[in-house]
Amino acid sequence: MESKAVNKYAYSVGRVRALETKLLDRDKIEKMIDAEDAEAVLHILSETEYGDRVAEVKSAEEFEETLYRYLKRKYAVIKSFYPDPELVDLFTLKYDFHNLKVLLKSKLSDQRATLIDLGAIADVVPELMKGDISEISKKLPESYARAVERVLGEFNISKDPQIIDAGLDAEMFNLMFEFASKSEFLLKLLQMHIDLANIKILIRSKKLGKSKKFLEYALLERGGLPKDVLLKMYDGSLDTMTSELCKSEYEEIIADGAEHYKKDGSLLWLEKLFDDFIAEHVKKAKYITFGLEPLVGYIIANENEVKLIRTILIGKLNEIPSEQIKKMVREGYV
Amino acid sequence: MVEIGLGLALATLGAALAVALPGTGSAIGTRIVGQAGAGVATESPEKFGMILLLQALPGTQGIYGLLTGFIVIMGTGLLSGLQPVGAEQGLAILFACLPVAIAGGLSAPAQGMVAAAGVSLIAKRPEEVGKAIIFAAMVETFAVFGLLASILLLNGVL
Amino acid sequence: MISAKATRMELLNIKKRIKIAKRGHKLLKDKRDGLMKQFLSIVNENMEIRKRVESKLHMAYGSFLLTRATMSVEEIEGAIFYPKKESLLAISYQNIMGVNVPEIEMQIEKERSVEYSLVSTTSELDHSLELFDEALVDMIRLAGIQKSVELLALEIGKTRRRVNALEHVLIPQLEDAARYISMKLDEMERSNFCNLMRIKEIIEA
Repeated sequence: MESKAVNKYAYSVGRVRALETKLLDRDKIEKMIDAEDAEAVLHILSETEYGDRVAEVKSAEEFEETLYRYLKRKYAVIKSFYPDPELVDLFTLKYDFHNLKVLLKSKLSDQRATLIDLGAIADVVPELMKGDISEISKKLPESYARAVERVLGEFNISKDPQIIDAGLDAEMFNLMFEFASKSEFLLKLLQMHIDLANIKILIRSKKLGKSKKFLEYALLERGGLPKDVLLKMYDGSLDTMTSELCKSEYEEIIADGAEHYKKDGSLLWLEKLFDDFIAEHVKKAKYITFGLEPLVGYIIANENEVKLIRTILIGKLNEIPSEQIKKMVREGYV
Repeated sequence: MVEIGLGLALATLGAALAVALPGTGSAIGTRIVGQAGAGVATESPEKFGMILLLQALPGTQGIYGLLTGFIVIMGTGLLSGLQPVGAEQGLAILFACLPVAIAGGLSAPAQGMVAAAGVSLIAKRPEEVGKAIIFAAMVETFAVFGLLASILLLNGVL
Repeated sequence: MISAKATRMELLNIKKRIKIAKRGHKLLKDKRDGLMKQFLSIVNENMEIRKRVESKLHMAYGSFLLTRATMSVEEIEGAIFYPKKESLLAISYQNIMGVNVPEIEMQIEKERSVEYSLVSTTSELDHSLELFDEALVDMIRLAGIQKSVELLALEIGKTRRRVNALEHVLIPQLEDAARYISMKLDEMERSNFCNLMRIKEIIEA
């Protein structure tokens, strides 16, 4: 197995390692956070991989629009040399499902929202936007079509729009499991994703005062924390829920997040901790020489980097103080 | 003219193994480093020199093997007129070749992996190329031991 | 100047009209004062709600900014462009001194509907939407009160114009006319008296 992995990944891992050096380092990120204004942020970015994108735009306001294009090109490059190009699709599934949600909701409500030009079905979706709702499942790849049909079937019974988002979320994770089935590392990562998503759903539902019935539908299957345990927790107050959750492997972040929540009533910090937790797990990939782990690390690092730039940029454009921006910014991979 | 007996045949097998196994190992080793190196060089071509250095490291086992092979060839006079080699002596020569054949043949791919990891290291920190080489060179030690053992043994039996 | 025949009958008529005008004037003045009082209290309420709406919107936009910093435009738009929430808008009318002012009450569903995904959105979105909901209820009330203020102001203007017309135009004119008629009548009386005196002189002479 070892030598097989070596044969398969030697070139691509070398290349990913070299690409990693071009990610934004802590020093640059801190400089961006402390920058005077959005223009200064762009100035810092112009000396990085984002330089081409910076040259494209006239003002800082426009720059955000280029971020998805940046990711798109990055992913195209990775796909061109990586031995498992479908691995990239696993990470762009969330864009696919964003597009599916927009597509279905547009058809059902006669309103429009913007698609994201990223992911495996990004080329098909704009065309489907023009067509009839019945054509959607015919023109999509099979696994997507199955997801859409199942969700539409449920919607037709209950006519409840929240089925579309919650249903497609569940379908997305099912599909992710299919993609990830070959790798222990990815399965663990996915499980962690689901756990954190479930915790997020649990706490937010409680805050929103949602019924247990809603929760039963919204919670995701196949996480490390079983669904029925989470459902049982929901009977208690937010405090008892927190102490219950502290018994899991996520103890540290839950405790830290709860402390911040008590201070300012916002879950932003907890969400940042979630992202950092996953990034931390993926960072272990640094020590694996050959395999798909380094690429996973690189993809997640890119996703986080784009998020980070967006946060800083929007913050600077709207004069959010640096301190607060720092709180929202995710840890880097480098 | 000495007839080619069993002893000589065994000695030839020894020489062949001493050259072939480390040679194959080195090929695999350098290939791994070469692939990883090509990946890095795609993004940063200026690191070519350092990568080449690391790629050469797993190649040494092949040289050790070739050296041992030559000693056998010279000792048995395969080039200059055959020396009589008894069956027992031939067997001894074959055994004497094994340390370098096995240690060289297996250490080369192993060293290749370490060197490839070293390529990843210099992709990130080119200034640490010395450390990358030391890591890979540690594996080299055992190939050298193999070579040493083979030479000493051949000295005794030839 | 009101043209009038200088007769006693006309004088009586005009005097009656003056009396009515004065009474009307007093009533209208009372109405104006009443309206003013209502207007002031409603304006105060208006100010209060407006301030509240402003601070609520300020908070909502502040929170939305944080949402925006953690999600892309596309993600936010995709999450909330198909809402399912139903709200009830009830309009009733209330009569303030003869003015029909609207009273708008909005009711939003008790259980927050979450038609967006809780996985792909950040929690700040919940908070922003909640703040916007709260602001909306007040904004609707503000709309009702704003309209009331407008209607009352219009009515006050109208009443004030009437009061002024009575006070400065109609009543003085009527009084002028009454004075004119009574002077004319006096004059006629004096001339009659003179005539009688002369007739008496002629008879005596």
